[in-house]
Amino acid sequence: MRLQDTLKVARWEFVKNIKSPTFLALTLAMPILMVIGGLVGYLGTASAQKEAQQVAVIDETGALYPILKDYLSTSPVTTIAFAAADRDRLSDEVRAGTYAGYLHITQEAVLTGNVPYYVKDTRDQRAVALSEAVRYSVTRYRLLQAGLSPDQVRLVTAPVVLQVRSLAGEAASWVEMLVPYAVTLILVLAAIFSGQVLMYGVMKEKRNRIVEILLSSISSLDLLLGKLLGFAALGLIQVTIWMAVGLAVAARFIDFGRLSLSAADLAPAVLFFVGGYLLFASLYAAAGATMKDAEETSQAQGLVLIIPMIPLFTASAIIMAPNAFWVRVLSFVPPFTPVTVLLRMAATTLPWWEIAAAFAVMVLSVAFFIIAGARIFDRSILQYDRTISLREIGRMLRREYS
Amino acid sequence: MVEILTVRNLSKQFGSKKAVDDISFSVTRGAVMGLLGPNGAGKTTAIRMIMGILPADRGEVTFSFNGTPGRLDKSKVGYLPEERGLYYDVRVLDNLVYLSALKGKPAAHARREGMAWLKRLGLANYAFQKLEKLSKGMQQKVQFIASVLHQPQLVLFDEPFSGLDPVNQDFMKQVIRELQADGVTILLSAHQMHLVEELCDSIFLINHGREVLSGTLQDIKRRYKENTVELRFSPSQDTSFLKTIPGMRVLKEGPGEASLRYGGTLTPSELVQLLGNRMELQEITVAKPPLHEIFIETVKERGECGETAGHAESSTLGVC
Repeated sequence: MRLQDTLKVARWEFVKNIKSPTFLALTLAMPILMVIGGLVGYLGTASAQKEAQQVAVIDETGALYPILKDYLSTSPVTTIAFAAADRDRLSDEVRAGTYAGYLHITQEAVLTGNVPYYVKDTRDQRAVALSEAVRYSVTRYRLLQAGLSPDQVRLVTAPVVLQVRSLAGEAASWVEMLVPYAVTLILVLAAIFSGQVLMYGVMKEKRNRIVEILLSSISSLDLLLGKLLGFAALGLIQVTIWMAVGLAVAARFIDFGRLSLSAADLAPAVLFFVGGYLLFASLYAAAGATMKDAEETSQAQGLVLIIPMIPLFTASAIIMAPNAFWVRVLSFVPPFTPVTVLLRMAATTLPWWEIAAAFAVMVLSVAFFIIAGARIFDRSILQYDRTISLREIGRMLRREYS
Repeated sequence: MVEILTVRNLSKQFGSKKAVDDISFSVTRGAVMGLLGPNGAGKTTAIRMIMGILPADRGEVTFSFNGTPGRLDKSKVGYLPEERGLYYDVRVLDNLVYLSALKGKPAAHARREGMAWLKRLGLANYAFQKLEKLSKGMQQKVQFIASVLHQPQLVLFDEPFSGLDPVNQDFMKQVIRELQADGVTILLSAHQMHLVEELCDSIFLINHGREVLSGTLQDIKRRYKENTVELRFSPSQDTSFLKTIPGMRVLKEGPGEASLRYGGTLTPSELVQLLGNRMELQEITVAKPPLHEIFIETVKERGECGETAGHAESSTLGVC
């Protein structure tokens, strides 16, 4: 292996691909799409909550309506009281759009807790704005009916929050949870996006026949390593851009001044990110070498594309039970190690030895995949016009194929 | 004579097919050697093994760039593969600079020399265009430049003339001669023997992966016992006696002309005298047959099946 050659290839791949339309589109379009998607969702919810609406209320209890009106006094929802005899008229008015809907509060509704709200279209999300108000008002009415004084009612209805603290007394840090979780998502996205560019790049070199020229100058290991390093640098830039945009947008909603992100919080996540990226990239490059063209990605080798996503399919189970036996086993199965460990880091504090062992497994598997990838690359890359079968790949790895 | 490349007992098998079967040869420094044979003879496999791109099953390849036999130093070898390929979405000069950098040449040197070569091959105006904008013939010239830009001591050209029109084939031959004049050693493979026999100092002919003939062109022709005889005469002449001459075979006969093959004991001057005594000749040519015919005859004698493609390129070989 010659480091000089590896670096030349890495530089070439970096410069060539950073200007490629695919890379630029993925790098720039992704945060823009995410920001647009987030803004649309946020603005949509916010506008639904802020939209002024008139709600008619039939209060057969005679005492609940004032509580409800008082609760909604600072919201964009205005209420108008009606008698029970007005039901039919109200139905027409709701249908005509005069009122967003009408509430029918009866003694039975108070007892059962099921308060009907009649609307023109049950999918109308504006009803959400009433939900908390009705819950609060009915609860307060029940308590007052039970004979509690207003002060006692205030005490009973005050919110209760379970504060989870460590034995040292520290409050749960959502940063500790957020960093590995965000890194996991970014790793999977970056690995899939730039991994695909790498895989198609290898296929293209094979299709263009340039690879034979390259191998007449450098070894397949140098070529593969150079590509991986070049794409790792590209991935890093991609991730930096995504994170910068993400943080800039998030800063509008979160006070980052209150967060304390230490190197200790970041280091394990970053290490697993880099290792995971190299692992997936080496898999993709080797897979690309065995395929004839892009259409082949739908075949067996193409399935490697979804490997980083597999632990994500079980992400909720991993986060709910981060120390379950199967989750621990999955942490040491090489292709799943980085994503599984990052998800576990988000859910619990892993013992240092387990992080170290998983990291060792990942480093060894990166070395294995690079060497195996180079061997497959070496033997497959001159098979220009066909896709290499899995059986042949097995023979290549056992050095029975040349 | 110093040998820059020595191949000993090189063999390669793909499944049950022996692609290269125990071939041995050497290339003298400064010489042009032709590795010739029909399509599928094993030329490309042999060259890939020499370049270290394919591992050999058996045999040894040694290089002697500075007088001491050693292993392949890729920076001292140029390679034009049969399967042409460059980065089509990259500018011509950038392609050349990168490939030269992989051979250890600094970018500034590659840029300067690359421009000089592009100018020489009439492509200077395309230096900063993407390769995909160039015609196939132009791309092939760029590929040729990429194989020699780093000033190698030894160059392996695999089918350098395929895909080129006759004008460019001649031009390429001229450039190869110039490279040789500059001291570069060349091993070239081809299946169009008439194109390369005049270029080569020595020749190694293979078929089905095995050696058929080797040596200098003169040696091979001298060793071949038959001569071609071309006659022109008055259409009224009686030529029936030609078939009675021991060792004479009539290949083609028409009014006023005949093509013959003579493998008897007479020397060329004795044969001319004999024919001159028996008929009134307007023209007679006695010469050794072209290389491709020697190849085919030798393959047939060995019981291997060989045939000429027999159309536009009469010296393009095929196997049956």
